[in-house]
Amino acid sequence: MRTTPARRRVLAAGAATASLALLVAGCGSGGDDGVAEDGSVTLVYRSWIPTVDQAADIIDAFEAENPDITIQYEGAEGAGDYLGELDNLILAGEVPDIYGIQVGSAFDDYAEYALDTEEYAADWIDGIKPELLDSVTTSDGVVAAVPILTAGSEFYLYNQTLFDELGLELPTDYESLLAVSEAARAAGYTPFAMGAADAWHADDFFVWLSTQFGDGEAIYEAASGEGSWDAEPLVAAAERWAELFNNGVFQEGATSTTIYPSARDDYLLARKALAMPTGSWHVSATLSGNSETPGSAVEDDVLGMAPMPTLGDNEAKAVSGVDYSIALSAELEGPKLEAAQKFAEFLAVGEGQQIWANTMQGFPAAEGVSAELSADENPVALESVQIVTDALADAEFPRKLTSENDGLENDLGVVLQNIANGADPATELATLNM
Amino acid sequence: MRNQKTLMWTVMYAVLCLLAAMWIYPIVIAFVESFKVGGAGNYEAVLNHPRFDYWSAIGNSFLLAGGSTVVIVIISSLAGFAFARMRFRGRNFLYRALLACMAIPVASVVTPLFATMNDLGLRDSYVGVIIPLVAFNVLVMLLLMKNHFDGIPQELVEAATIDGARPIGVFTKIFLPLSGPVLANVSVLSFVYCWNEYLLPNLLLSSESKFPVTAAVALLQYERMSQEQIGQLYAGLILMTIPSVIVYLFSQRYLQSGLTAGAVKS
Amino acid sequence: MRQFGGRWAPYLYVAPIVVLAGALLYYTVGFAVWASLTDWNGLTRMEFIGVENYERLFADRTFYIALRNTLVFMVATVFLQTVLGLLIAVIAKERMPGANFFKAIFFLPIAMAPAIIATVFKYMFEANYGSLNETLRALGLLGEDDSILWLGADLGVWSIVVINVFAWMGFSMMVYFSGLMSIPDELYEASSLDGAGWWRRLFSITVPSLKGTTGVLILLGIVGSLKTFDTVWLTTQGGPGVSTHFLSTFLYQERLNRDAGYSSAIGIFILVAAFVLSLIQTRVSSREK
Repeated sequence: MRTTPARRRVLAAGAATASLALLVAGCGSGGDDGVAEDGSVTLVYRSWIPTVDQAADIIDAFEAENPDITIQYEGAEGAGDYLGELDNLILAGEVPDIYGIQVGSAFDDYAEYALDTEEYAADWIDGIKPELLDSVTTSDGVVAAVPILTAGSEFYLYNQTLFDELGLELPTDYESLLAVSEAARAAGYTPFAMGAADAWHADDFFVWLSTQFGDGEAIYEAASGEGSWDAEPLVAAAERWAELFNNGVFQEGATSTTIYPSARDDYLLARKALAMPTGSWHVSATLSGNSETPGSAVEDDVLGMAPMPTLGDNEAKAVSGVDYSIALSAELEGPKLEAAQKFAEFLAVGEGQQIWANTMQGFPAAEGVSAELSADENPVALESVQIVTDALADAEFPRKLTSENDGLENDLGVVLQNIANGADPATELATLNM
Repeated sequence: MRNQKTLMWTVMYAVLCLLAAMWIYPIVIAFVESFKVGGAGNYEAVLNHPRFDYWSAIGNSFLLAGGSTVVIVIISSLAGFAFARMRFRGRNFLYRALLACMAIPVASVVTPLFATMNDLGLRDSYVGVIIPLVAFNVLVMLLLMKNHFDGIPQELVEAATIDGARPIGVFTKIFLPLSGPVLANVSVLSFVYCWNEYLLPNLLLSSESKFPVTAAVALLQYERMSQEQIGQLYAGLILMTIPSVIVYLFSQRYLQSGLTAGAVKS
Repeated sequence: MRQFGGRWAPYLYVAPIVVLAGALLYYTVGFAVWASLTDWNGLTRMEFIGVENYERLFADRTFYIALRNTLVFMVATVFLQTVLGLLIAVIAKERMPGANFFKAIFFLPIAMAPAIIATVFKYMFEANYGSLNETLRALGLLGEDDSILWLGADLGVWSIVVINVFAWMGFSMMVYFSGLMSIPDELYEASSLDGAGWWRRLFSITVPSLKGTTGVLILLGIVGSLKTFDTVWLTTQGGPGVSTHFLSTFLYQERLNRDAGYSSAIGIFILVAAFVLSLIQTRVSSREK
């Protein structure tokens, strides 16, 4: 199963090349199966979150409870880099023991190398909010990953100090959004630093925006193939999307700005922007112990987070869903499987879930867990956490699209960037029809 | 007539100065930015960076470019000698078949190349980067070497063979001593090409400790960037340019004549 | 002539290059041809699907945008690099004050990795707070609230052309400069006596004498254009939308989308294009001779 035609062909390749390889391959990796003679187990955990610091807290707590198990965490710079690395490892036949996995149109591709949760999570999986399991189920009906964190869109991280300096109030609707933006520009600031160069973020924003038109279902129908991409509500949403760029709510060249590092670091944290559209995970940046603002130009400012105001016909509600889940390699067995099972349980419904939730990098996927914050936090931060928590609880539609087209995330992003740069919304959207 | 000439020279000089300004501008910007906010401390911060190890990036670049250069020089001169001066079945066919690959861009075969190097067990190893660096750069050098060897007078070879010299002796005692400038050209050009290569190390290396400068740029860039860190990014870019500029200054003469040799002869 | 080196020895001399370069490149290209006929997802799925990837390629609008950008880039960079390179070489040869300084300035970027040059330019070209727009605003050439979208859909390809010319023009200049040195002075002296002006000498003596050099620079420029990857990937990543994709970045993006079979088909197209273009170039230049 795991040996592809390609790999077999390579094995049969020219003797000269192969013998050359043998000369140098002697010092390669392999051999180490992660179980030491004394029965202690080492597991490789690959992912793009948590950050290395956060991971250390979680893993230390786990290893204290399970002295025989060592978790070797290998974090990547952002989800894009992570997927590239994971692709290479899978192609190399070295699926990590535990790996982070995103839900959405590419889920099936990566779930293929994952162990069915039936095999290890049956006892405790009902500790996870049941509505989350749909998105970690493959098209064959296998629940292939364990949801750990949820997230929602679309929110914005703002600089309260700067709002106060300019004498501005948070916008409450499209009109006030335009007014705030104009005032910010007049004062020489970028209003909303939008990272629209990232397909995933353009998609997040647009999915959220589209639910404010028609019955809100149009985009999900289009993605699944039941509806058409140039349906009226989607065209209306796309027109509004384009207006945000044309009316100066977003900065010039927003379709060339990535959310990380550009929109965040070169605009918001450089104190050149009033606010930055992002997802619920960024509420973490409002807290005192956060890892993002220290050393930046906004270090001494108060940051807050709020939901983007309603921009369409219907009242805006957050779109939400599983942001982060983990999968166990299908190749695990024996003591390694037992150890991985313990770690998954610890992260999903155990103490790890609580530690991680407290960083506010995401919202807990487990039932009955909520972040425990220090009461010393700034009132704006505490209020932001409350508002975001409420908005997520109130969410109605999913954040990620599922589709037969596993490249949909990128394709939709391209279409949205084209529309932002002046292409006709209906014609552009129609190119997504299969 | 005289006036007209002076006018023309003034115009040309102005054009030249304008172009030079355009070339200097980015370099000045990089310098100015590298001192913003943190001052010279930016350079210190880069050298003490938690994830980006300057000396190891430079060392890796020297190792990859240097190792590839040595291999390229050896195998291209050996093969150039054989193709130029030896007769054997399939000579022309082999030579043409090799040169046909001269223009293959790395980008056109990324995934197959990755899979191949992986199946050879060479992923994430220095050797696994050096082999493709050699493969994608050596053929131009083969062309240079063969063209040069073609021009060495046949009488020298015949005189030596009559004295009973074996081919390897002819190669080391006659051909190599006559090839100083070409060998220098091939070395410097190979070094520059391999030093500059971006895609291969990014594709084939995954341990940050093995990254050469072209891959390490990303490490500096994706760290959380405050105002100081933008300065640090520029400082890092400048620091990473220094070694190759020094190599260039020392080998300037060879590099320039090398470019010409390659251009005039092929 | 007696066979020099015996019957088998020659093969020992060519074996290293044949194994290291020939075998690896031919194997990889063969692999790419096979992969382009499959639905390979870059992971483990790899089923034969015939020429479907190629049909899809020729119906894909991104392909035509990437092809157009690659061609525009090819023509523009080859033109600018040869014309500017020749012009500066000719001026520098007149031994005017500071000629060596100018040469050094234009040649310096050759010693900088394109990955580093591209990163500097990316920050310089940023629309709102990038140094270039800030400088233009400070000079009054751009309104306080205006921005030029250097890396946007309209100018992006041209900005990438600028970066490439910055990086490689010095190469053409230096090659031309050495070529100029080998033109015999008598040619110029003779025409001076005829009363030919500077421009006439440039077009009737200098340019024709450098025909061979120009031919090689054009070939190198064409091959270089097809290889261009880092400059684009590190500045625009092909965006916004797909407006600045080159064939090489389009290919890479498809690989990241786990569409490795399709991505290989793009690679095969690039290979064929490289081969055909170098064939045409050698035909044309040998006819001129």
